[in-house]
Amino acid sequence: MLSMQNLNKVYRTHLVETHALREFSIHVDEGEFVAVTGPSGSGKTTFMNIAGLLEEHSGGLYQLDGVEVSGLSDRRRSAMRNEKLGFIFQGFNLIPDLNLFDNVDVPLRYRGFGGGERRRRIERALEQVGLSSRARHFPAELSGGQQQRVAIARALAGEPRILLADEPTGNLDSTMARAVMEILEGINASGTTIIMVTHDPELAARASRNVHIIDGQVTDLRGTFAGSDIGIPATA
Amino acid sequence: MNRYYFWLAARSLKGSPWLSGLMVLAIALGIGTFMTSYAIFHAMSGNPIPHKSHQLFNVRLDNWSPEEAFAEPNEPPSQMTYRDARYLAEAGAARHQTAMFRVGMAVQPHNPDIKPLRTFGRMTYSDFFAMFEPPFLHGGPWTRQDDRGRGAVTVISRDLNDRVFGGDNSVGRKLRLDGADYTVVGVLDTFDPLPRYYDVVNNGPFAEGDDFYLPFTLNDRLELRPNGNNSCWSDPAEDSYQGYLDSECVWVALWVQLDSPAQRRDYQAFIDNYVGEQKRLGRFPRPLNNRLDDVMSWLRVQRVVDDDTHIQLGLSFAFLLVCLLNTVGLMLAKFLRRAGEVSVRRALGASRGQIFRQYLTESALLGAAGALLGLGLASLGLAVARRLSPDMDMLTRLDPGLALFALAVSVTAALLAGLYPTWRACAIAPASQLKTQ
Amino acid sequence: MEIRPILATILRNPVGLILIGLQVALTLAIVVNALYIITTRLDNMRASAGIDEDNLLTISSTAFSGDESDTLANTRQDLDYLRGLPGVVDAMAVNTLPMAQSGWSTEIEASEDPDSHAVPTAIYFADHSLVNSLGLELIAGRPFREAEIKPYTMDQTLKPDVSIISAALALALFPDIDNPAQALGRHSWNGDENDRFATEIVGIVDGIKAPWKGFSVDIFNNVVFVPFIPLYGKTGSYAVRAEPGQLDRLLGSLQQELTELNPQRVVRDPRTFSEFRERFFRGDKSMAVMLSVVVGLLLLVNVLGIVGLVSFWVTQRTKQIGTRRALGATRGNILQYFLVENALISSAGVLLGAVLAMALNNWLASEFQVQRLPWHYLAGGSLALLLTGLAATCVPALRAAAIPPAIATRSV
Ligand SMILES: Nc1ncnc2c1ncn2[C@@H]1O[C@H](COP(=O)(O)OP(=O)(O)O)[C@@H](O)[C@H]1O
Ligand SMILES: [Mg+2]
Repeated sequence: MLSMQNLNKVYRTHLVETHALREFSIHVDEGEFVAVTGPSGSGKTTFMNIAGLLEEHSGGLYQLDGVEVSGLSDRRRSAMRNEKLGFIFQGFNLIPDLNLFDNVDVPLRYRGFGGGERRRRIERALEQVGLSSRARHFPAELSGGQQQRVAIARALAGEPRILLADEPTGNLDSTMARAVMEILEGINASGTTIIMVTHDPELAARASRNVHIIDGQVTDLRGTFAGSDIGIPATA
Repeated sequence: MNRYYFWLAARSLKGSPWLSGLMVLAIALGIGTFMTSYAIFHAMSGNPIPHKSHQLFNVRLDNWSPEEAFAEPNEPPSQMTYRDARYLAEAGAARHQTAMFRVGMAVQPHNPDIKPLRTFGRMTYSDFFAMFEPPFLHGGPWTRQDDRGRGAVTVISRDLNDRVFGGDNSVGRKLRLDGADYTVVGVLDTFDPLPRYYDVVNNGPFAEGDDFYLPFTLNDRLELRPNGNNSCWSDPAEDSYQGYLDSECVWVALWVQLDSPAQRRDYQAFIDNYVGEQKRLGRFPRPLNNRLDDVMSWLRVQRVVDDDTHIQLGLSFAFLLVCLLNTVGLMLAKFLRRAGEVSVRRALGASRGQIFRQYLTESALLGAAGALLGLGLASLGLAVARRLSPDMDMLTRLDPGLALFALAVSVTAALLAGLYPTWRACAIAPASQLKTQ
Repeated sequence: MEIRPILATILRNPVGLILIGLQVALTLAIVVNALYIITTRLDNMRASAGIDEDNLLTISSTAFSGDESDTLANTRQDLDYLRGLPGVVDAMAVNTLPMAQSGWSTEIEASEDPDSHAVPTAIYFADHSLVNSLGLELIAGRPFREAEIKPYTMDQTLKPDVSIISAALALALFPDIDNPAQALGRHSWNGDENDRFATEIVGIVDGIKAPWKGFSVDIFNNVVFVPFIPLYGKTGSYAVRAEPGQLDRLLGSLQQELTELNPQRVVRDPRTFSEFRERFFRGDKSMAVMLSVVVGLLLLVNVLGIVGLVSFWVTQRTKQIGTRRALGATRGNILQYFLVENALISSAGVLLGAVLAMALNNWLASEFQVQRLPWHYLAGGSLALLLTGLAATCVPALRAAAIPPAIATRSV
């Protein structure tokens, strides 16, 4: 499904070069639920951004759903994000001036679906996250947990192959976080691959596989001995 | 505390030079354009003799044709017949009164080195000087005695005195006009009322003044034709100069000074009575329609501020409005960009009122900067206007009063423009921005 | 195209709509009316006076003393002298010239009945040299004959036997003719009720203009030439037509030469016809220039305003734009978003502006002498404003399109 080999990512500012990822290799199979952990600044977001085609990598190979993405045009990358990927952000990233219906509609419009198709998908996605009744509400009228559920609906509506979630519960209290986690587990159960960054060991433990990133390099912890028993400090 | 706001505002303006520059530019363009038209309008519509504009009256009698008015709607002629003007000027029913018309004459300097000049002057009564108060450099007006005795005396302008007498005190010397000598009794200093209200009909409200003044009664001998407007609704009965004087042609102006409403009422009754008498003699076929207009009303009647000036003023004001809308948008951008700073200040205990004052101070500062640049642009605009119409030179001045006015308009406008953005900035909750960070 | 959600966004936060919309509306209203006034004025300025404009000058002299018979003698002497000068085509005593802004006018009728349809017209004095002296286009009839020319003093009632009139006056006077030449041989009438007299029309000239336009009635094209030498007190004034290229030389020498011819007078500086023309159209020119500056600045301010406000929106929506990019929007989609948004707002402004423009035009038409606005000004102005609006939006919108999608995860 997703395969990275010896990826590098260097950020250059006029003062310093930061090697956010070094010789980074990972392979994710279809249907996996991968939890990514690691200390702050270790390169988790960088990994997610490259995986999600939001940023380009500096060297190495990256195959997404069988397509080598290095050197693809911005247009093609946009189309792949739109069709194959779904995003869930820590800050929800809903558009405040659009109601829930129109927020979920955003990626569908770029896909070029007709009005009827979009409506069906929006209604189904909102139903999946239990917010159908709120379709005409605006984001500001919802709690954080509800907003994140709308963001999930927005990601789901396009029926992505992979769902990328960067600290989706980072702004939520534990009850809300668990509710969001349950939805994600449901989605994964129906076959969608999920990669999720989290600081919460309890949530990470519920994933099928745990990946730990330190200093831009992967330590793969296979699901069997998942958990925090090795005593890796979870920095917040 | 106010100085603190001032400092904050100045710092904030320097902090985003592009946006601030754009705002100042928008205000300055608006103010510059508006002030260009306003300065001209102001000069045109100004009161040329503020201390007695309510006491000086132009007199009109309606001697026009029974078939149609001189001008619609039912306006009497803008000047008078010679016989009416002369009668009223000498009847003495007002405190001061004078009839007058403009003439052209050749000046033959006694000094052979100075070339003869074609000059323009005014046949008038000695009351002219008491009424319109031209400043004297040397000497003074002639007397009512001279009016009655057809004295060969003259008052000349400073300019003519410079040209013919080399700027000397020429009182007592002779001036040769159209082949006859006149004794100079007075030399005027510069006399440029704006507009030249006492003769907007013939000379134009913004034209050059008179070179000389002669007693009106001298016309008995000189038999002059006016160098100005002459309108007749019927031909003179007789083909002679006397026929012209007795005709219904209008070409002489009459002004009177009436110091109180009572005097004004009495004078109105007096001219109405006069016209009534004349009607019995078969003149004045139209219904009684005599007018007394004080200075400002006369300038309005004569449309001294022309249509183009009004249109330019109106359009440039609308332009100023567009610039203000523009400024509102830019201020909104600027003030809300600093939403974070506001919520920190609010969290640190700044009251809504304090934030309000801080932002309004910033608006006012923008307005002041806009006014300064705008005044520069306005003087540029006025220089262009001057180039286009050199004869409007006198109308294209910026004086300290106008500069203050521009500053007031600009700051008021900027405060108005800043009101909504400031209100939005004040509406930011103390912690709202902190929470999401 | 995502018009509905964009519209919803605009309406939810209508400040931008109000600010830019009002700005566009006012701009349209002002620009359209100003442009119309400017074109009218420029059209005015193209009017020809109907004479040999480039080669004419006037000069006048006032004697120190003497009566009208002396003035006549001086005039004859001056004209003989002027006509004999090398470089002079011809010269004539005049009372005024087209566009000189002062002169004589009267009302004439086509029949003896003084209450019949009266036509206002300017009066020019002329002699047999008229066609040559002014460079007129005589389209029918004949010039005055030398024997027809008489001196005229101000005390006389003006009663010409023959006249030469402008083609426009011929058509205005005789509504029954369709070719001005048909007025030849007809009579115009003038004078008070009990003193009517007829004047035979012997010539028709084309294109000649009156000294002024007239306020309530238009007399600009109505001109009658009468066969008199004007004697205005001690003053004589002459129109002198120079041969091509000789005008400047004459301008430099005439005052001196006429003074030497007769020193007992003041000869004023000669003035070219171009000076009259410049003075005549000064108001039109200043109006055109001033309004052009306003129009130019207005468009500039409009563009600055749109660039400024849209830039602000781009900054404010940076995260949103990143999110849209993350969700699959191409750069083109982002650009399009802002263009559509501006087009919607500007269209609203243009609609309001069209109403304002008509209202402003109504007001100008009722208060001042401004004509009704032709519809294509409104259409052209609207289109132009929409296009400038879109062009202005492109500046910040291109910046928006360049916002990287990673903003969605990186920004707070
Ligand atoms: N745009 C950028 N420019 C420069 N350095 C960056 C940029 N983005 C991230 N970095 C650096 O790359 C490293 C990895 O960052 P990130 O992937 O965001 O870490 P994490 O998400 O694990 O906290 C950090 O040292 C961070 O400072
Ligand atoms: Mg991160």
